[in-house]
Amino acid sequence: MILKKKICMIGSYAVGKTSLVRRFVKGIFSDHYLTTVGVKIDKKTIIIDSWTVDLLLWDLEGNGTLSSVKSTYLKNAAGYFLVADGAREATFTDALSLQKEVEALLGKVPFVLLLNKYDLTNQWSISPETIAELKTQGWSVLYTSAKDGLGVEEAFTLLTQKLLEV
Amino acid sequence: MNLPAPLQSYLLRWLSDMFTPACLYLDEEYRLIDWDGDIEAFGFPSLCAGQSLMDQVPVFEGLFPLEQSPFVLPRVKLKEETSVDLHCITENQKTFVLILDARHVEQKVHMVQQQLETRTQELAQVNEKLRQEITDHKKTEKALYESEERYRTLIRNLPVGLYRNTPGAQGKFIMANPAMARMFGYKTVKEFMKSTVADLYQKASDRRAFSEKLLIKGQVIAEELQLKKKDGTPFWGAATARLVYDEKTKSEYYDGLIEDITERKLAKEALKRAYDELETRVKERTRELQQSYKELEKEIIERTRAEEEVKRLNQDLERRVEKRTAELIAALKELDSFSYSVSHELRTPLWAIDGFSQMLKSNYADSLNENGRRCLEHISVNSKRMLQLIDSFLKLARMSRHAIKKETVNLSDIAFTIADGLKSAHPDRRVNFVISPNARTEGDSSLLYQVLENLLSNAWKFTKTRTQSRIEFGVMIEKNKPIYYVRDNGVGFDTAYMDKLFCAFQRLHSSETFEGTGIGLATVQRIIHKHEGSVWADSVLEHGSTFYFTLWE
Repeated sequence: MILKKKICMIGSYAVGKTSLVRRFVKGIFSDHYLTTVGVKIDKKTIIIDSWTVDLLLWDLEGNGTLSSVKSTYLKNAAGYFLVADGAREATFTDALSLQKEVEALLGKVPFVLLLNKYDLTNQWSISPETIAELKTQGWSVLYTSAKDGLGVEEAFTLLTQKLLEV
Repeated sequence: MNLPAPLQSYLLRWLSDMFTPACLYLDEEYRLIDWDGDIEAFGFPSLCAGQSLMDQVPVFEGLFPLEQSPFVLPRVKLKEETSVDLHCITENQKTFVLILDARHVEQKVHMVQQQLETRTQELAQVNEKLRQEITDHKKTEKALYESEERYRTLIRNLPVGLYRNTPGAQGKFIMANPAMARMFGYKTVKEFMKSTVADLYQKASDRRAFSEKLLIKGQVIAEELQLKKKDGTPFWGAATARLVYDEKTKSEYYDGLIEDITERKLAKEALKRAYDELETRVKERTRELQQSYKELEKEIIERTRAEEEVKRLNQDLERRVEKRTAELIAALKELDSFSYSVSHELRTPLWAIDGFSQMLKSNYADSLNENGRRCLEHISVNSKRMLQLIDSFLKLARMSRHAIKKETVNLSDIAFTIADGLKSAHPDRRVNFVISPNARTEGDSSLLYQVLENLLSNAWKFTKTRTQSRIEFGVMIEKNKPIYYVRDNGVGFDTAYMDKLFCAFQRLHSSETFEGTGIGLATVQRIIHKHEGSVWADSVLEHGSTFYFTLWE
């Protein structure tokens, strides 16, 4: 049986949402940045524990807050990724507030916090203590690098597993 | 709004051109009834009527039933290069989906983004430039601060007094360094600043003169001034100052430096006194020297006179010596000539004695008794010996008169010739001659032949008692001069009689044992002396003798 699951990519602009999807779906990365306008929809099928899951990936345009327009994109989402740029602390703060807005809209659906651009460790601005604090609250947090591919597969697998557990 | 038909028609055409619309019709089960427009161009798959739209187009998954109508999903990108707005409307259990091209919105956004990036880059460049300018400015400020600090430290540590003061009768100090305060006996600069310029001078007239000079010339260099300390102690100072006009305050002030030159002044005065004293002493010494010079001159004249007298006496003495020498030479020649004549004349009667004694022995031996025959034999032997002595003496005399004929002589060749002669004459003797080759010198070959003949013959003679004789002629170098020698392993002689060795007719061995006239070594000595050389000997009795000679010393 094939399951269909809608997953949204949420986060501030230029944190690497589109790059993560492209790395996951097509296995490529480009340094050229083109902001996403509206929503970009991709599809990828993965198999986990004998389940075949069609992931509908809704890559939403970046923003620090949810607009009314964005809310319509979230309709019927099974889960979401909160994406932050580990080298820009403000995007991490945005992710935390976005999570509250999304939860108010969708209720408690599975999500994973991705701290992207882990290849820029020398510019890293989020302390391990902060992450440890979030994990104690039950958050799933992964370090990813769309550029290197680090943690990308693991992130999508983890969220899918969470979706299957629901 | 009720638009007139033409406008409605225009608006529809304009919307159609602008958004290239497409649409989908769904039944109450959201199955696709029909569609219109180029929906595949927008990224929709090939559609199949009668089947669920959500199964065919995933974007609609979970969208129906609509929460509200119309429901809009703006700017949805189903594939690259496309972007659409999806407008969903439900009416009479039928659902309509209007698809409008939204690429122009995306293009506008990307254009704005491009402009934003360009502007961001420009701002970044400006920012970088500004940051560089700030860095440069900070560097300049730091350098300026360091420079000022160095200047402050320099002023603070300089051993000379630096100051700035206002002109006029009531001139006040604007700035002074610690050395200035110390020089004038103040503990701190602050305390010093309370004093006026006039307080520093011993005489007010000096200050006026200094100020006037400064105003006229604009600057004064190393002016020596009589100054005083806070407690009134006078001292000498050298002041250098210049008049400065401050454009900012529109006022004049003096900048200057003062050096305490009291010690230098005192040293200068002491030096002058020493110089004067030295000059006096030089004058005195000059006078003394002039006096000494005159006395010396007088003494030189007297000495010159005495030397001339000595010279005259010497010349006189030389003349007398020459005369005496000439007389002696003449007397010696006369004596030589006389001796030669006497010897020569004695030979004739001796020949007669010898001849007649032979005749007597031959003709009348039988008439004589034994004693008579013995007496006759004695007469014969002694007359022969006397003839030999006279011949030797004549030979020595002839040699003395022989003039030196200088030429290159190979002494080794001469020694070889003499040795060959001796061996031929006495083939029964076993003598080993050792002769150094190529002993060359300058001299009279015939006389040097005689020297070697006498020495080698003596060696031959005095080794005759040896079963294996050894005679050596050689040369050794001492002080870069050659010393020739003749060495033998013969009977030797007693060196106690060394002084008699080269005297004529002196013999150290009996003529019965070793024949000879006692003239050979005397001849050798005369020849060597004629060659401006020396001859000497060394010997150990029964072990042999060595005769050494040098030439042209």
